Amino acid sequence: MKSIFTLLSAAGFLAMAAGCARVETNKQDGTIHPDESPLQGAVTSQDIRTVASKMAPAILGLPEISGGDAPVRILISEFKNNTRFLIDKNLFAKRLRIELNQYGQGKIRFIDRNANVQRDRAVAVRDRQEYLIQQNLKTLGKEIAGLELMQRSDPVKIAVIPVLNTNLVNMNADSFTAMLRSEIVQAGKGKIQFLMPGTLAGADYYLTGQFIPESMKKEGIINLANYIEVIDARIRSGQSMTLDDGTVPASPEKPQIYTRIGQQESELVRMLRNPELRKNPNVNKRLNIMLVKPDTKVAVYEKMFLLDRKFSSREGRAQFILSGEISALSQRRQGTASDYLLVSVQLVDLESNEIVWEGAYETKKLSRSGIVYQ
Amino acid sequence: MKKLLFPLYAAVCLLSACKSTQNVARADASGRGVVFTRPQNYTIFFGSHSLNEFIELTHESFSQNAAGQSVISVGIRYRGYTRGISFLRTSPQQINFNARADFYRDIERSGAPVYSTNNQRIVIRLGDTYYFTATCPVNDCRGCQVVLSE
Repeated sequence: MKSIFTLLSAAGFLAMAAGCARVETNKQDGTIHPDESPLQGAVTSQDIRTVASKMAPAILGLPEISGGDAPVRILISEFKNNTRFLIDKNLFAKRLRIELNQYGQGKIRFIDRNANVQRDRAVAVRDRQEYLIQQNLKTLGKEIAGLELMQRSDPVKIAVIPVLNTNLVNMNADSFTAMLRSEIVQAGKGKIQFLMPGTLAGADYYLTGQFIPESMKKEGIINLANYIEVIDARIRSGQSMTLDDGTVPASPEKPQIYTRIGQQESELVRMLRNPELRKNPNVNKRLNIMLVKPDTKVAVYEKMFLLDRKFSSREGRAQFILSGEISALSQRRQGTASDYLLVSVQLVDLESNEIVWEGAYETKKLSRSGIVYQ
Repeated sequence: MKKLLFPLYAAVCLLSACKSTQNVARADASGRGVVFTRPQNYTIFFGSHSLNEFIELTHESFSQNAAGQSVISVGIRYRGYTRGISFLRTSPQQINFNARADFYRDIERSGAPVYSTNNQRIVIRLGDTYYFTATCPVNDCRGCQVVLSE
């Protein structure tokens, strides 16, 4: 009896021990779930994920976003961190944006503000613009060569006057004029001839132009007709077409400073030599090409095309701005800290400046830590 | 009788420890939309307290909002421990646990969920009711499951 009792007890004990045994199903490598927070802290990854999880469906459910067919463009403004915690304040915005992009089904488009992306974008846009310019020059060359006034029995002679306002924005538009000349000759098939650079005598037409940057800060543009007059006067007096070659005024024997042409020339040289006007502003730059009759100074042909596009972040296309604020109320007593955290997010209409939606997430945590920063 | 006490005691403990086996079968459509995961820790004495022993569900509703999004709302009330309460050991003033909602394309909840919230921390004071709501950003969801865990 005693042995049966001992046997039963031992069996029962073994069975109990076996039932309590924990089986290791996987090896722990230190990776934990993003919702776990083994360390105490007022702001945890769970809070960031909860904010995104709660607010993304609410934003997608707004009539302004769910109602329309076209995607809504949103600009994300920097979140403001009003707390004492050293956190990446844009982490909330990033996580929310990821959630909206993932589940938005194409209803929302965000305007990118990442510096690396903008830098690469500028390079790509400039490459694309250069390709378009080449196509434009080809088309323009064919158009000029095909003009009725070019259809003569004898070859048409054209002289090139440097494009006005080239150096004002540090653009080498003369290169484009040279390329255009090459395209015209190619398309003309021998019917059009260009005079040597610096020669105006005997020209049937002047090929010139004006470089027009939109919204220049400093006024530095001179009238094209006056410019052609100045160039004419310099050429007649044996000077070069290059205004800043050091031979101002046009007539070296008698200074023409007080004549109309002399004044214009002085003004042009002043502008060319002003370093401030040589900056390259980020504006649309257009080239206006003209064919001018030398005797009447009438432009018989004129065409403008975009030479350099303003590099824009396109933030003006946004319809809403998403912004947020992280606020906290912290209290400490005898090594225990309590932190009340409030994360608020707003969606503001760009035109009317109205807050169309606001969401908030609040939590309060206790922690036992004596350090100042967490 | 005394000689049978220890084996009896061992048998009871054994039965309790049998609950440590995890049941991985998913709650099907015929069952409730709220499931409780098993407790993380077990004790020798009479198993362990599970979440569903001290919280009760006051209501469950699954509807669609004006934007066509599915919304699940579950009322969770912390009623306190019903087992093991004594003069010395009372129910904690508040409990913390996690809640997560998984939304499915169909009512049978087959396949992977089209959207899952994260595990959101819930704190309920003794006697209070917390209304857990979750909205699915993806339209045309017909099934939902809420998982409550420690």
